[in-house]
Amino acid sequence: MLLFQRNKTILVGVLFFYCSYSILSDLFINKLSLKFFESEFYAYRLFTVIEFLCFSFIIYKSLSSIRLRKILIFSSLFFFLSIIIDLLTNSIENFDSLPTGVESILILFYCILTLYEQISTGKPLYSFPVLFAFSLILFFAGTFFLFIMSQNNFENEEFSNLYDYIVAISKILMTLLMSVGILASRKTETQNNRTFQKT
Amino acid sequence: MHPLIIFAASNVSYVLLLGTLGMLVLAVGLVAFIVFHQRKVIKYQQQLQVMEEQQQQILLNASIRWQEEERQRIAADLHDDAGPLLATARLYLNDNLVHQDISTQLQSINNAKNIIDDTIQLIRNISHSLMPPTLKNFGLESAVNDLFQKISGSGAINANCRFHDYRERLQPQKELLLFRVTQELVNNVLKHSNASFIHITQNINEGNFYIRFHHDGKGINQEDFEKMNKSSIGLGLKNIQSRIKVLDGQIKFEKDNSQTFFKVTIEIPLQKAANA
Repeated sequence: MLLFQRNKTILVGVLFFYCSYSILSDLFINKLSLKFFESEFYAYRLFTVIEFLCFSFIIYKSLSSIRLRKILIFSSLFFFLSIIIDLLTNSIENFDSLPTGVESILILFYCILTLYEQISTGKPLYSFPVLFAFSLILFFAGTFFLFIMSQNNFENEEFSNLYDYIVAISKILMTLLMSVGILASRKTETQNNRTFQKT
Repeated sequence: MHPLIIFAASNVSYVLLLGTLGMLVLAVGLVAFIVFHQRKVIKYQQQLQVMEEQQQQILLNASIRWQEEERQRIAADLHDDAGPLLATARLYLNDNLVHQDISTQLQSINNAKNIIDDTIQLIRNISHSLMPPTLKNFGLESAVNDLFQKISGSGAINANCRFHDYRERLQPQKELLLFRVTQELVNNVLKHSNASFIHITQNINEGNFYIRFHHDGKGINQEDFEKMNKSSIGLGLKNIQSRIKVLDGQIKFEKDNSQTFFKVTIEIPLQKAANA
């Protein structure tokens, strides 16, 4: 129980860090990057890595099967490989479509792993890992095409406007579902405690 | 702006919107599929649980009915056989006996002694039917051998058994359950199958204890067995099923490979059978 509590605190901590970094990134870090490096793509690239690490860590902690955890660690290597390839083949002052595309595919894959585990163990759908996976599926499915096409079209004003809209809507949906997930896990925990006290 | 650039821009937006929408539809579809699938699984599990509970109830009722019938049988044996015998013995040993001559007294005492001997034998038979002494003292193999010798001795059917791997005895409770299942199956064969032979073999394979029955009469297959288990008929079969469940084993009714004889296989995990 204590382990679960500690695990949950870490997960909420990582989520809080991600949300804070995301807000800070939109408000300051992108502008700082533009000011000091004359391109905001440095901040974008850093954000991609942080986002991938945060989500992968949360999913890793949500998985209980050692086999699935090993698959997650092994497939994460592809993400870092994609960063190296992108740095070698693409200008650093350009949108990192390859790493973000690989990130989207990998996170979607991890979400399917999570859902597979949750369903095969017969756990309820109103739990944090399931709702977290649903929120990530919606976000990364919604932004997948956007990230893939950004490398060649980011300078296009119309595309740039659409980028902001799509990312904003996807993020709102994702955050809402994550919040529901946290609330659902709290509710389940309270119910379990009550049942435990009764018995 | 050049019209070509405007066209290219709107074309990119169109592709982007379409792609995003497509991916979203796929994602929502995936989520919906998972939700519906999970609901279906939960519903199926609930149905399975209800069926399991119903089956448990049927087996419990069968077990209670069997116990009641057994009690009634014992009560009838005691009341109809032992009761009159003891009452007759009492008549021989009545108060007038002291006023009679010696030879009549001796005759009466002798009669009463014979009747009491018969009663002792009767009570011993009832006791043996509850817990066969051969099973208690010498184990399942001897008890089944004993049973089959009696059946064969009657001349009604050719019955033989062979235990291949019975070096160590099972727990007494498990042996009694297995013996009762054997008795019930043999009883069914004698009553319903019209068979000319019944053969039992026992062996151990991969940590499982097997008993196989073969007979050449009319029999049932697994489907019939399960059907009868779920219906209100077939009390004996329900008792077999509940005993096998207690043993954590399995029972299979089928025809043998040649499709000539009926075969019943009892499989019990040896570790659990020995430990439980």
